[in-house]
Amino acid sequence: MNRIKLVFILLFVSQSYAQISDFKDIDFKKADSLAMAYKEAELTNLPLLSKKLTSNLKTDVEKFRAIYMWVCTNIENDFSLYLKYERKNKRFQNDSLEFNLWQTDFKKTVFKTLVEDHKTICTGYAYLVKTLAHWANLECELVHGYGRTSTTDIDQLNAPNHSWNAVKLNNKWYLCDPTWASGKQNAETFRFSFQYNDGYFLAEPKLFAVNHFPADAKWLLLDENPPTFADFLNAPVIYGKAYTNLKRHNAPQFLNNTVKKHETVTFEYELLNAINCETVKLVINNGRNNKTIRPNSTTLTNTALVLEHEFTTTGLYDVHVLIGDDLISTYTFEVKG
Amino acid sequence: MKKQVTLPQKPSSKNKLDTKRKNTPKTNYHWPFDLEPKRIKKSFGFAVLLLITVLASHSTLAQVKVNQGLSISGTVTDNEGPLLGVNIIQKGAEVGTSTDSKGQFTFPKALQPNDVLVFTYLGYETQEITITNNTTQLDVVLVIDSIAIRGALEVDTPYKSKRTE
Repeated sequence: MNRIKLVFILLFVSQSYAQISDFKDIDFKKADSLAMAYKEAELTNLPLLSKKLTSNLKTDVEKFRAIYMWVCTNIENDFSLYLKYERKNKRFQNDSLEFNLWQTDFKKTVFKTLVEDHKTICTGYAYLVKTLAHWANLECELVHGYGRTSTTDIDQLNAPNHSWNAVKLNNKWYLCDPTWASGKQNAETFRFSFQYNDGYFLAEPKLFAVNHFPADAKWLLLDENPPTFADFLNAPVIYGKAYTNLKRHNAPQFLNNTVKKHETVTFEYELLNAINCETVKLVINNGRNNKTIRPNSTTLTNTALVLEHEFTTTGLYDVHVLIGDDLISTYTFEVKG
Repeated sequence: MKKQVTLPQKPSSKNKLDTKRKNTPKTNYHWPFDLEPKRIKKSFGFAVLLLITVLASHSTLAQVKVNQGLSISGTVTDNEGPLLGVNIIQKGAEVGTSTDSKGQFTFPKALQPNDVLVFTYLGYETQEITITNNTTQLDVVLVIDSIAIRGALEVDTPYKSKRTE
């Protein structure tokens, strides 16, 4: 009886933590090389492309991986399409009739561009993943919601602005974001470059919720203490590299914090892999210049990372946390006397 | 998401359906085999004849089958007009084609009643159409998927707080 209990507890514990770690025994090399082998395949015959990518793979997770990897490494983000979207979205945000009329037209442009030029914006990515997954008999959904990056103006965030995927593997739902996994827009030139980020594949729901909030809360995949939309709006800014370094982001919970001079501020994370504590840095910006420092203390216990910092002068500071060269997260601190 | 649509059957004079099977040609032969050494020559001749007969009847049958198939062509449109590049495959097979700039297609293989054609086009709801005895022309209207397009970019520009000073 005790043994059964133990098994149940173990099952439950692994369930609540596990995401990509559910599949740590699976080697994605074969799936990834299939995605590579069909590089630049046409999007005119999706059932065939799906079959080519998946028919030689045994498990559902590998099949999904091949599809996801193909989309992430073959589809470019279309910046001009994005600008068009931004402009119209703003113009029609209070006129749902006009918005819908424009969307019908825009949808056609988006899908045409996707088929012909292999370029799209996020709904195109998620839609393509979903469609290819369906042809491989995988249960996959397109999730609409709010995505937040360092440049998102949260005052303008009054309608969903992002799409991603949920996929059911071995009877359990997982999250991934093919758009953000595919690459980045250069901040100055706005040119897109492929730069696959594996952290968005079967991401930890708790971390995912820091910068993804689904329109339908069930896609948070968090049963216990799910965050509210307000929590999401108040959350710190996390970057793509957070997903390759962190399993959880625990503290600070808010982007904007007010502290007293000489008060100690604590940063808490759960890491995916152990790191060298010496590589952890804080970049502190006072509005004029950046100062790179080591935290007052850096403690690593297994994979739990705790940083402490004390502000000695009053003012408003943007604090960026870096592990090595990876920008992880940003917070602001208003230090009062 | 998938729709099972059976189009109304259009009467067509061009219908190539031929249900009568041709009778296999009859040949005179001895039965049963006679394996007596004297007769073996005759039996060998018989065997050759039999082989020819089998082959001949086989090819006749094959021909009948082709005649029986339905040659399908048609157009694919949406609410605004013809769709270029709509993918059409036979369900469960690898045979397929796609529409031209006028939305027209001719399926490359003759089909049998109850065969299913699957029409897919990125962004549109997939449609399945079951072929019936009288199908020759298919005019398919695809419906665009009812999703809204969203876009948010991944950037790694460090966050900058808004400062009033």
